[in-house]
Amino acid sequence: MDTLFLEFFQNTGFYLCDYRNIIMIIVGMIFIYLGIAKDYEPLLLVPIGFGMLVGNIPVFKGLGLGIYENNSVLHYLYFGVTQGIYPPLIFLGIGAMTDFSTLLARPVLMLLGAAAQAGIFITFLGALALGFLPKESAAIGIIGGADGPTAIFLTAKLAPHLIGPIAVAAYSYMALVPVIQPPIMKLLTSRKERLIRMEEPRQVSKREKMIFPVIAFLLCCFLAPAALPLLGMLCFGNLLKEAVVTERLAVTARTALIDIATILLGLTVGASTQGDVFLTQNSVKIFVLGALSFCIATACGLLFAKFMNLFLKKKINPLLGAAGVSAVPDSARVVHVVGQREDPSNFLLMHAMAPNVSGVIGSAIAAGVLWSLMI
Amino acid sequence: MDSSAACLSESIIFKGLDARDIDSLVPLFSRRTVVPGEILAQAGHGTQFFFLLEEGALLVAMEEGRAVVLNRPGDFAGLSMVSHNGTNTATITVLEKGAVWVVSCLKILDLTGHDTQMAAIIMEGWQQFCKEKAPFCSNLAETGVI
Amino acid sequence: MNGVDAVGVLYGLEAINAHNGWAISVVGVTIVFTGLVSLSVLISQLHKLVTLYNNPGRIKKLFALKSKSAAKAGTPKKHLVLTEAQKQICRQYNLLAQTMDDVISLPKLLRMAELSGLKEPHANINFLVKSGILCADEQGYFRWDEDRFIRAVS
Repeated sequence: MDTLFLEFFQNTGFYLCDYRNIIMIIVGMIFIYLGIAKDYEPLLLVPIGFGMLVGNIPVFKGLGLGIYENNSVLHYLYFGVTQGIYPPLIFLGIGAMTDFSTLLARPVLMLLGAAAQAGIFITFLGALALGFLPKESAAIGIIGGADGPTAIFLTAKLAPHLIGPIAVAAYSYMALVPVIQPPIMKLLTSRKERLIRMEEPRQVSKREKMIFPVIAFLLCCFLAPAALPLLGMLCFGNLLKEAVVTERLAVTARTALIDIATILLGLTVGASTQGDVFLTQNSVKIFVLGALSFCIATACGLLFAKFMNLFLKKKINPLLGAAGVSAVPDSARVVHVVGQREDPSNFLLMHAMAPNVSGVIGSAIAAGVLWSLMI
Repeated sequence: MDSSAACLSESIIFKGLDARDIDSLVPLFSRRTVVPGEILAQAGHGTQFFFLLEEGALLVAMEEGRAVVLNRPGDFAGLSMVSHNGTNTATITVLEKGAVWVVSCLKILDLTGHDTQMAAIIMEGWQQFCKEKAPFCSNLAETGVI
Repeated sequence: MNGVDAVGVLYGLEAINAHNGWAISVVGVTIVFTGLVSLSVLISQLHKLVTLYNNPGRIKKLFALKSKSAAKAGTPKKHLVLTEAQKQICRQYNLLAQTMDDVISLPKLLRMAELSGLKEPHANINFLVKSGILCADEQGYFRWDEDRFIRAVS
């Protein structure tokens, strides 16, 4: 009987537990806390945080329970991540809930979304310099796009072994947009610039909104075909939304479908952060590079907005540049809040959505470009 | 050069004339300030005056809802654009405050009715003006006024 | 900064050079910019195409107007900057214009404005003509330039 108890005890988590599992469980609980108590991206941080708890329960290898074990349930669910299935589904939902009106009203703001993508390529160079292989560097660089699904999609294609740290880094920094961006915004802009008011955007017709996803898809995918899975779904989702007659499909895409994909993606990405696999020197480097990537992307957007102001007759508020990192709609909200701190009657949210959604398109193109350049 | 002479020289209709001819026209014109909404000529009434625009804007409302807006100094609301057989065919309304040079219809007809070089220049300018301002009426310039 | 570690992994500028990092970055940034710039140029013209599609008659007029651009010398082409009051006037007259045919009779519009009790109809119609929102065609009628109107009031 003693032997039976001993054997059972040796199969419990208490016996198999490693300090790395404990660390990851604590990180997972912090994620859950930030999501629930601080309201930082709760729809992402809570599933990922709980996934971390799931993934770091020490299990006896061979029982077919761990995410990295063939035939385990988690492994099957994780298939959607490693094969890049969930991100396009999430993009379908994002497309079905995104209103591109502000972008259509002021297309010049799209350039801010392009400028912020420079952070991706600068970080790519940084990762190469730190000794990562080109494919790994490309996957790390995409964190600067501040777009979780895109980061996961590209990493699954180029460096599947880094999905855990890259996904966690990407989502962590997205959740921390309200903390990371404001200091950079204040550092790179003067008070006078932050006070600039934007012109009221023109009215955009329904027909324009319907044509946009088709044109955007054709143009971008002809230019960067590798962006097809992400941009295709984004534009398709948007067409469903704008077409009106497909409202039922659009509602499904932006509610049930995106929620299911988010739950499965969040949970399995969290579960992939098993302490022994996740806590490595490379993960630390990825987190540092991810933070840098995010900061550089924000700075590039801000500086490019200032650069544009040199040529524009009607100046734009350079804070909008910070919304060029995709992180929809958090970075746009941050721009609005920072602008309102200087002038409570200045409403920038609507204007910031333009670079914000163009950042989504920009990061998808950047992912497609990196993918095609690496294969 | 007083302002009527300046206005005549600026007009596409009269600018082909030399300074001496323009000086001879000046006494025919008298200046009048106009205000928005003022009706200078009414369709169906007998034609008395034509108007050379110095400043402001005039609406020449013709039949079938057609209209021409005269808004450049030197634009001329006269001849076949506004009159036919001694009757106004258009209503001239002031759109913008300004000034016009008023000229008697008969004096202008007398001037252009003779086979002189001055008349030829004026009619050539008039054709050019009509072509530019009212191309919808191809025979406007050729149509006799009386 | 540069170097190779014990297992032969390259670091620093040497790693960037060896993996063609500079070229990949430049090409990447260029493609992203090209894509978004061309998309922004395209969508900046989109509303004009939509306006044409909504008013097929304008396509014909567009070509006719181009050949007679000299006749429209009085129509300013530069971007309008209007006051709120002027924008309001534009909106009011747009509503009136919508009740009329594609081609607008200016005397009729003036009469309707007077009947509707709009203030200073003469001066305001003159303003719309001067601003190019009401454009003369070759037939003595006018058309409402939707594109210019939207840009003026937005």
